Amino acid sequence: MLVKILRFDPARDSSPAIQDYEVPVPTGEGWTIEDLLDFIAERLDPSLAYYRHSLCRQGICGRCAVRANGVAVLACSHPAEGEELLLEPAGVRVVRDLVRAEH
Amino acid sequence: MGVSKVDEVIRTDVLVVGGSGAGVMAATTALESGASVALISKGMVGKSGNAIMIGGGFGIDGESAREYLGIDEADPSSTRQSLFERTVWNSFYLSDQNIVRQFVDESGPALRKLLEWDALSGKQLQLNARGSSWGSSGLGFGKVLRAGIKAIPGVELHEDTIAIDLIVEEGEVIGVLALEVYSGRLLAFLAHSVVLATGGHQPYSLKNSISDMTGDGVALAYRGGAVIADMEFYLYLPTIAAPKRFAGSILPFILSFLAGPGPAPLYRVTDASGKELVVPPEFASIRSKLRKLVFIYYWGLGPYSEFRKGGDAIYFDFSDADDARLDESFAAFEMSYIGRQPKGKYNKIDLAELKDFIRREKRLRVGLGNEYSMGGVAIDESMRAGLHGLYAAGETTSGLFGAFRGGDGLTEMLAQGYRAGYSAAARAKGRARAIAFPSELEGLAESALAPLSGRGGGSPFAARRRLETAADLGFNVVRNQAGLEQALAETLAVKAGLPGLELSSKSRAYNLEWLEALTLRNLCACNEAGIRAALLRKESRGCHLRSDYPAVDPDWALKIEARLEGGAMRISTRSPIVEGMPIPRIGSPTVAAYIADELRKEKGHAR
Repeated sequence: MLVKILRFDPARDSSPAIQDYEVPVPTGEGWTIEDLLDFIAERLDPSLAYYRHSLCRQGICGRCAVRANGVAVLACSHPAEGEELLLEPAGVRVVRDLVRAEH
Repeated sequence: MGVSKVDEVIRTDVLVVGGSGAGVMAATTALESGASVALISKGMVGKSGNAIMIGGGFGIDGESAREYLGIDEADPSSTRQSLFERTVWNSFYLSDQNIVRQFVDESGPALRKLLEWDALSGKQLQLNARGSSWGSSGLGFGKVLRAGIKAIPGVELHEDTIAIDLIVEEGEVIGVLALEVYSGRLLAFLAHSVVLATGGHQPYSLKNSISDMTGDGVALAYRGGAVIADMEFYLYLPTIAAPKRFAGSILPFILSFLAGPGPAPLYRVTDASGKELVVPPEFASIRSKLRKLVFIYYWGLGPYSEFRKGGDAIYFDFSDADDARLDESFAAFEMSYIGRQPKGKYNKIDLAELKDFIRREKRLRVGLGNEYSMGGVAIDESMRAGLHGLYAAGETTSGLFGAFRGGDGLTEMLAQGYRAGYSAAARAKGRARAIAFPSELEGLAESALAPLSGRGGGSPFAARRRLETAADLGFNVVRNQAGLEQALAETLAVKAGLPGLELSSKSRAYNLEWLEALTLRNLCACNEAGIRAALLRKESRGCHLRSDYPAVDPDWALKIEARLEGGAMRISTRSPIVEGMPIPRIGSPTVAAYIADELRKEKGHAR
């Protein structure tokens, strides 16, 4: 699956830019968007920032929200489907990459 | 002197570390006592911590429900004394009975405060027919906590802030160095009293708990010189292991209440080879907390006895259930959660999707996932943690539940948080404010920043996986000498590699690798203490099962403690504190036989 992520580090970058990642999604395991992000962070690019520090992973807390192909979804429960996926932060105040400020 | 690495200093009377039930309750009673209070929480209050993961609810004894909450329909024969005795028996006599006494005595008043918050939250808690227990969804409970923190606007709240180290000066705890997760700023909280309410710790890869249970409070206390105890005891719950989109759900445990005995069971529980894991009839009808220990024993012993990764070794086999039976069971499941879950769902799981999966695949892979850790900071009945100025409450502590939690973790955090706030505020009253910048603070700040310049040692994520694998393979539901020794060696190797971990981003803002490197320190300390205790305890007791020592040994009615001395972990034992229930010198060939013996007694404590 081609995962395109809108990245932005306000401390370094002047504007956001999309970075592509090729993720080998195994069939039949029921991967979610969170699984994609974990794979990228752990195997491809550990500098990727996405909400991860206090996760329920069960669709309860609502904090892992991202915009997937333009629609706001919960990363922990939304299935990783299709051949191409665009991920953007689900909010306007971006801390870094997919992490948005909440307070 | 150059610019300090500490970005902000905040002074307060009482600092509460942790934003779930114990923390919010401690902040409430401390403020009530006239102290100024700051509270830091790793996530957001009401959206973090294990309280939001619950599937059932919580309760107190009937006597307290009648006396403190005015609930006349509560059963008067469910007395505080009976709860006291049941809790001690369930602990396999490792509870400190002074702590059990505080738990039964103060659950009522603490719950009264919780119900005030519930009213403010629009009533999330449903009083059950028995009159002394409440059903709640995790999210609902979170809303109650959020109402609780909003009800005390005087508290200085810092969410998404992680505690890094205790600040100790001349033998007194005078504060905490903390890290703002989003900004990467270092905050020094200077306080007369620190209450650790950070919950438990979770060493394994199969999770039904929140993701960040790295035992921060336990490790902070340990590094500060306090005693931690009972670290070898973990409570496990049947949890979906695969497929990934259902993984982590405790639905299998809940389903077990609906499967029921009878000619047409909904599913059979088998190991990987298809051999059925049978729970004997005398245990199958247990519906109390003891049920969890029965499952740990009968579903854990075979699959987890071998030196390999658990989690793929237990199956719920639905082959014998026809469509009608499946439909009926799922309908009953949905019915039991009506009003507490969105229609057709259990948390993130779409029940129709799960039913289809089961119809197609016939088998659901289940593991025993860690739900709760009995071990933690050693406390007394005032929630003092052995160092001047240090208190602890909730799952962060040890001493209430011993070898097996026969009571409610939610009630524990509320009753203990309640007392901790009063104790912490009493100490702060009348003490002069610290005016000097603590001498060791700059060193602590440098230590916190050190991972940002680590070199050559590999990634923190890989180190975390290695630590989890060590626990999965050798420190899991069923232990043996070789497995534990291997797990210890691996854990010490991860610990040794911590200073060199290399981060790919040096950015301070939301740096997950940096957070991982810092919190790994805490999980390493917790795991090391637990594995060392498990090695020493050459018997089986409660949730600590050893395939090489299956008997419950009366000589081992002892608690195992760990403390930092001369830079190394020192392990020791002591007898539990007895106040009213002497420890009987009884052993048993197995944990199951121990339970069975008590079940046969007319006036036994096993219910």
